[in-house]
Formats: sequence, structure tokens, C-alpha cells
Amino acid sequence: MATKKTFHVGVTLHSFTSEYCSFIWSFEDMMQRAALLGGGVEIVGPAHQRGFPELSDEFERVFKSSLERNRLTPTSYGSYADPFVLPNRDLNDDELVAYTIPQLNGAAKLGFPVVRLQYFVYPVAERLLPYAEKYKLKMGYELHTPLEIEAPLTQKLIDQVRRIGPPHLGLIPDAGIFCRSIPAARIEAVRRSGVNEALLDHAIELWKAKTPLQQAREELKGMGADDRLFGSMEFFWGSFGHSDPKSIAQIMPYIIHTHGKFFSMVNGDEPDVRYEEFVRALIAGGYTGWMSSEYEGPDTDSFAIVKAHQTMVKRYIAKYA
Amino acid sequence: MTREKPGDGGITRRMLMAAAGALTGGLALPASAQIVAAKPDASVLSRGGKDRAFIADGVLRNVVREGVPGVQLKVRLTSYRSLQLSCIKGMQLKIDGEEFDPKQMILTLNDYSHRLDELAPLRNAWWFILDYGDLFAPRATPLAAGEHEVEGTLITVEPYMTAGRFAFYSSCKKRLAVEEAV
Repeated sequence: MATKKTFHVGVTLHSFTSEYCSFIWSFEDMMQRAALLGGGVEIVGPAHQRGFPELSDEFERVFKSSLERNRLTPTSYGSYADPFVLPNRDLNDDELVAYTIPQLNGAAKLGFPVVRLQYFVYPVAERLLPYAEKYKLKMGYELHTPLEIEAPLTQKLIDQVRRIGPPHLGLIPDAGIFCRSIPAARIEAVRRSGVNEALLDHAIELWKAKTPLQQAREELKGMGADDRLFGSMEFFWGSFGHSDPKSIAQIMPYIIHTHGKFFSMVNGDEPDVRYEEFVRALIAGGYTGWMSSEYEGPDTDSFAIVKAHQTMVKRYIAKYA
Repeated sequence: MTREKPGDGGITRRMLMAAAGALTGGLALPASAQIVAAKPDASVLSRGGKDRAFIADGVLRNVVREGVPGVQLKVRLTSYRSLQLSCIKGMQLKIDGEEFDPKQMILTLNDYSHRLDELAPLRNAWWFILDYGDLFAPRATPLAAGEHEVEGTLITVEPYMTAGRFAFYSSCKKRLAVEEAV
């Protein structure tokens, strides 16, 4: 019997975007589903919380009463940096700090132990740390494509976390950095939009060969690619990463939460993301936190597809724990 | 744009900003570069859901707004999250092929009205993801009764993703009827 202590599987309400934005499920409906999907819940500040970045008394009560009713565990709060909110300039350091503090305060009031950070707050991390201490929070940079673990920028983030991090600053890897292929539905959507087929196929080959985006753009430009194809490439290169799940070992001491990003489920498996290796690496590293199932794919029954994802993750946990 | 300045560890602010999506490798994209947003699948509608397209289901109304005659219709935000109004880069509207001037259009959210060309500095005013807005476009004569072909495009910036250098274009086309008096 496997007796090793392992990690928990929950869900981010982001997985339910389709039902939520179509008014099929209310906020409370989503919380009820989260209770049936592992019981750990993650929310996205500006999606679920009217009044963001401030926390309203109303949302605090709605959320906490729902936690009680549905016996849910708050896992991670999705904060935002939004540095490009103004068309004419980027937010400055003071503005980034001012925008983040109420999110930290609100997350703590809602009972979250962890806050997902976008890496744009890197320059002001040391100014946020005292607030994380005050509110007893762990903040973590999300390692989301293009922040593959091996990327130079990620290495800088890791250096900072190593230097000033624990226990209040860590990392949150997103499974989307461990892609083996681009999801077929995404390729089809681009194909249907009418881009040149041969150039699209070539762009996919360049992605598979791990060609840097800038180089791929130049090569395709020489072949006559247009802005529409470049837009699609931004999306491919910005969504589907090439990290090796073995790299998890390098950041293991700093992982405070994980995102189980997935794009589709086919015959009980995620065809485009290297989940077996990812789960195996987490288990090998002794990870005992949460993984939030995070579905980002075509509209479908989100409950069923998250359930299928969790069944897969648990199968790999059982195999390696 | 923010001036480049060295951060600790040799990382520059511009590097941080430019990395927003392997994005552009630090290159500026041409203004015409677009990401065409995915269309919602019919499966949502078959389960009783509301359409998430920019032009919401509903009616066209012939209205007079502060003395100006025009047409008004319901619109939605096509992102997955609420956006600051400064991220609404533009809207395009055509009815039966007749194009309206965005500079004259007015967006009303939660009873607050804004001319589209006044949105750029509004980073503390928000469009909550579930809220419907009213879009007003001046038109000298009322639309004829019955159905019209309405085409709309919402142009947005995702304020953490697009590095201010490209936008999401979310277009839709549907037939809407003019509201009839009872």
C-alpha cells in the first residue's frame, strides 16, 4: 500500500468560465461544484469579485458563508498586476504596489493561505513582503508559459525567491509549461480563421522545434506571413511551453501551489501536456500542497471535464505515491 | 512608455514587460496585429446559457438620448474577467452595412455613461464581467420596424498580457429586431 503523504486536487473557478459567463451557473453553483471536485477552491479576483481590487463586505460574506455551507478549503487567490492597464504607459512601481496591497488584504480576509502573483511585481516584491507577513500569506509567482522553468527570466525569479523568498514568497508552476504539442482544437480554430495553411503548418513545425518566437516570426515573414498568423503565433508561443517536468526538482523547495492547466481530455488523458511526468516529479519532490484543475479549452460541460482531469491526476498519484 | 531601468539581478523592467507572452521578443508588433478571440460554442446555448458575444441578444431600440436621436443595443464584455474601462480600445458597429462613428458612440454601464473616446484614462472604472452595457449610436432617422443585420467588434487589451502592443478583436454578427411598441 502506498502510504506516502501526497498532494490534494481541487479546482479553480476559472475552469467554469463558460458556464459562469453564460449565466448557466451562479457563483454559488460553482462553489457547490467545487465541493464535489476535491473541496479545494481557487478564485480569480477580477472575474468573481465585484469591486476588485478592493474586497467588498458583500463578497466577503457571500464567499465565507459559501465556504461554510459547502465545507470548502480556500487554496489560492488569483491576484493581478495589470501593468498595461493604461494605453500610453506601463504602471510604475508605486502603482503596482498600491494595486496589489488591497488584493493581499482581501485574500487574507477571505481565508486564502496563498496568493498567486503575476511576475510583473518582481521589482516590488520586497515592498510586498511585509504585507504578506502581516496577513500571514504565501505569495507565489505563477510560472505560466512563456515562463518555462529553464527560461532566463524564470531563472531570475527563482534567484529572487531563493534570496528573499521563504516562507512568504514562492512559486506556482502551471502545467501549461509542460506541453508536448499544441492542442488540436486551437490549431483548428486558427485554420478556420482563414490563415495560409502552409504557413500555419510551418509555424507549428517551428514551435515543435522550440524555435524562439522572434526567430520564427522572421522566418515566416520572409515566407510572406501576415499579421493574422503572427497574432496566432503570439498565442501559441505564449500559451504552450516546452519545460521538462524533471526541472521541477530545481524549484521543489519553493513550490507553494500548482495549477493543473489542461486543454482537453481524450480517453482519460491530457494529450498535449506531460501530466504523468509532472505528477511523478511532484511526488518525488514530496509536494503536499494543492493542485487546482484549470480547464482552458473549448466550451463543454466543465464539471465533467474537470472530473476527468482529476481522475487522471489521481491515477498518476496512485501510481507514484 | 516606461523608460528602461536596471533592476536588481540585471533584469530590466522592459524585459519583464516584454516577456508578457514570449510576446514579441521585445519587438513592437504592428498596430494591425490582432488576436481573434475564440467564438463561444453552441453547446453553451443548448444548455440554456446566454450568448457571450459582444452584441448581446435582445432588441434594437430607437431612442432619443439627451435630445440626440439614435439606436441603442445591449453589449457584453467578451473577456473572462472584468476589465478597467481604459482597456476598452474600441468598438465597431454596423447595422445593415451602415457603419457608425465610434467617436459618437456612448457606453452606459451601471447608469454611468462614457463616450468611447473618453475611456482611455479610466483605469479605476470597471466593466464587471457579468454586466450588460448599453451602447448608443446617433442616427438621424429611426430604424425601420423588423429585423436588421447587426455586426459588432469589441477591441480590448488584456492588461497583463498584451503589453499594450496588440489587441483582441472579438467580432460577431446577428439579426436583431427593433423593439415594438405594445
